[in-house]
Amino acid sequence: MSFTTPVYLIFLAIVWALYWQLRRREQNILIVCASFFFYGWWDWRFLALLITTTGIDYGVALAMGHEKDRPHRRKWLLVSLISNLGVLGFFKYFNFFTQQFAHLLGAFGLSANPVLLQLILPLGISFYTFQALSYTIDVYRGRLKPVRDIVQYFCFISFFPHLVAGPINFAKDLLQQFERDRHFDRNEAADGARQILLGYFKKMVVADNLAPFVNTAFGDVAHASGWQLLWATYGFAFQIYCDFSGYTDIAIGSAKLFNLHLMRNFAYPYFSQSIPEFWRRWHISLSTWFREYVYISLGGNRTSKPRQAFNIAVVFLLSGLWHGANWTFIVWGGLHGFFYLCYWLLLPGREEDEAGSWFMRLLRILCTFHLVCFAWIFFRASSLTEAWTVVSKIGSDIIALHPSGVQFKILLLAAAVCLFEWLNRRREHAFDVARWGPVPRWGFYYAMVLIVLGFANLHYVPFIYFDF
Amino acid sequence: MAHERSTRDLLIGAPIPDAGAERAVTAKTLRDERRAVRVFAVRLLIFCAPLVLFVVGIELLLWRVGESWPLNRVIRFQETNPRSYFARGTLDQGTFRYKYLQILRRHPEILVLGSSRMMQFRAEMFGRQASTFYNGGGIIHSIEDLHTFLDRLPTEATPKIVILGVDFWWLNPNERKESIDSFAVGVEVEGTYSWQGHANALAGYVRHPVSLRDLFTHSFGKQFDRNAIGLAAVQHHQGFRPDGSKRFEIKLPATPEEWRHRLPGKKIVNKDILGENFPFAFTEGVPNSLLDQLRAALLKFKARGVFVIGYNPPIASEWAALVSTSPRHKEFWKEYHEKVPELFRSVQFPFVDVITPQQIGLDDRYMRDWYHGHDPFDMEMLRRFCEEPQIRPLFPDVPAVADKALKSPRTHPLYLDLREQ
Repeated sequence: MSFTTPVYLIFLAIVWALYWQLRRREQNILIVCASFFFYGWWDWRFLALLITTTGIDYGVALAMGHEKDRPHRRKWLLVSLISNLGVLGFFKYFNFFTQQFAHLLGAFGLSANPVLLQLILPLGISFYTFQALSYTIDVYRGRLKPVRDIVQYFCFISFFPHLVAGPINFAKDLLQQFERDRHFDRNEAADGARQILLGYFKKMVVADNLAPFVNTAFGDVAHASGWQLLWATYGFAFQIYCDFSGYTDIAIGSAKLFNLHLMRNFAYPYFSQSIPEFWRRWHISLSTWFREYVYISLGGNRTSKPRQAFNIAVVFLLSGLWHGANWTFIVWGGLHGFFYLCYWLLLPGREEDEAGSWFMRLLRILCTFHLVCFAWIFFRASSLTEAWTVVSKIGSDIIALHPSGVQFKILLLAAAVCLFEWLNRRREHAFDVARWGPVPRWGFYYAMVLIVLGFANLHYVPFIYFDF
Repeated sequence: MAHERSTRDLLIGAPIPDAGAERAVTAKTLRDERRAVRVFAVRLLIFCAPLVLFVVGIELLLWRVGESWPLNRVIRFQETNPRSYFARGTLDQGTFRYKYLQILRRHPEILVLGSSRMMQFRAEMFGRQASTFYNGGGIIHSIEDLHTFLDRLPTEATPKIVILGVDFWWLNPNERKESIDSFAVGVEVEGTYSWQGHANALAGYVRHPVSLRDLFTHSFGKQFDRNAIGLAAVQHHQGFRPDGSKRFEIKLPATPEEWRHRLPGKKIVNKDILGENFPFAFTEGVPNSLLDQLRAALLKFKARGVFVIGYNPPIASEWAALVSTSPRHKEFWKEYHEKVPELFRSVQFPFVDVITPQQIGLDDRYMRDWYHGHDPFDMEMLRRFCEEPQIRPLFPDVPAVADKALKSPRTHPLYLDLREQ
């Protein structure tokens, strides 16, 4: 069930009402049942896959807990890695790598007829696989004791707000919360409700209203003008941000109603003054995961500079590949890696430079935003050729200096998002109005509810990150 | 709970705020907590109360005007109210399902099938056969639809006579399918129960609160019409009559000049045809594969004992002139005129060519717009059908009804006086 359907709100209300009538153990059982129901609503067949793959990790972690010596633990870790990455690779990357292999053979004059499978990507597989891996790797590293209670374990893996599109939570943060008693906190619940409202505003009002324009331009690149594509690129920058961060807000807000804390995933990324800062503010849970389990495993900062640069490049390329089996995503990751390394090599220690006049800070923010937008072109295009067409069309039209088709809708929606975020940039989320008096606060809530009711695009637009 | 952070604190993997130290759970803490949950829930309900009132209020008004009535209720109401008419304004009209359910319920002997261009045949035109007539115009937009309809229609609901309007785009393989509503999809849609439909209606009133006044005034008082079911019916006095034909509230042009400018000008006609917009996609000609599919559908009718009267629905003369001379359309147009009648005749069904008003002695004033005829046009056309020896015995009352209606002083090109029939 999607967050943007009324059935989710009904489901949430029922689970919430039951949850606070129960004690911890029953609460956990309720969460597991509700989460499986939530996931099974899409396709119950994938529920079996979820339970099987993550169930293996539960067993592997217990086995590692019994092993004292590292080589034996490593064998168990290997089982977890193979089962998780094997399933992910099969569903997500099988066709891609088969095709690439066939192309490679073709380059050497050998012909091959690759076997391609008609596979449906199980929803949320990239997210729950990484979350389960974080658990087994932490147990392997000795940072975490394996959990014996299978209900707690499945609460951690399948807690419905984060199950389908994150944030990817770490066992040390989330698992412990299911081991403790939760106490109802009115302020926390109210903040959760506010964040849910923010999520609906971002997703249904901003992202879904931008989607038709962006889809039209990128759907027919050959006939779109350079200016149209430029507006579509800006539009996509806000669409994907509001789509994904809107989802995350609803997820985090829903969890807060149960007094559970999910990891923060976005921190006003378009106010970043550099690419490294952008990656500390965008999809934080994924970048943390890659830092913890890939970058550090490769040696992290304790290696030579060239090796560090290599490690950074690997992390960004893998991050691109995580998003999908297409060269466009790999190039998108590669571009970000390149930008990151440029900052890292040329401006060491100045990534978060808050010094300088407001003008310089604004300039840095705009530069960073445009670098990010440039990379979004590759992310959104369906092929590298198409991405290149977009870049060259935008380039030639801008040089010709004949601006046309100013999209006021994009400007208005982007301005609304930027305004809310700028005003609350030092707070956890843009609708954090707890400090306001009751009258303006309630007025604000009503205004936002009416805006969502009146201006939401009600044609079902799936969350973009459901594809990943 | 607000957690103040500076941007410098926003490090990757910033620690999650502590949920608080472990507190022992006692019966008292549990009681207190449940009380706090109740208080929170009550506050939330108080917050939601005006919104719920707003939503419920609008839903009640929509029900009052018949907008949100389920289709079965609409059909039952129309059975006992012959002057009623049904047209939704915000929810999905559900034309396919509405008409299909009517066909299943009424088992008509004379059934009109085709697109919206066949909606003006009315039961009264058939005299004593009126009770056996139903107009299914608006549910068939392609040959594929025709097959789906036939395969789905139960034997007991099979009509004896079908008047089938064959739109020219049925025979055009390049016409974009997404431009056409499909029967297979539409017949499953019951707009009454779609939350998006209701949310859209609500959104409309949030964006244009002034229209709430309209809804209110049409729900009560002088403007409320108990024969009108649905918002569009109440507000614009149009909709489907119980016999499936469509009633329109037509503003009569007052001067000859207004009559002349009622239909779109040449510029628009040119734009659509020469721009190859729907339904004018370029094609080399009528392909045999589509003719075979149409033949198969006609043979299915025949196998079920149905007599089919084919015709090509009318278009305005300006349009006809352009499409028959445009270099990229004329070949298809010619073949459509030759091959379709030929096909009907090959399976012993009549086909009447009435593509322009001139062919039955009328002019463009009889067109509601440039590709929909109006009631008097269809009456005249029906009379023309009856000149065919194969058709005349099937509709014995039509010539007399047509004479009377068309000669009535109240009849004019946009209004047919059938009141005394």
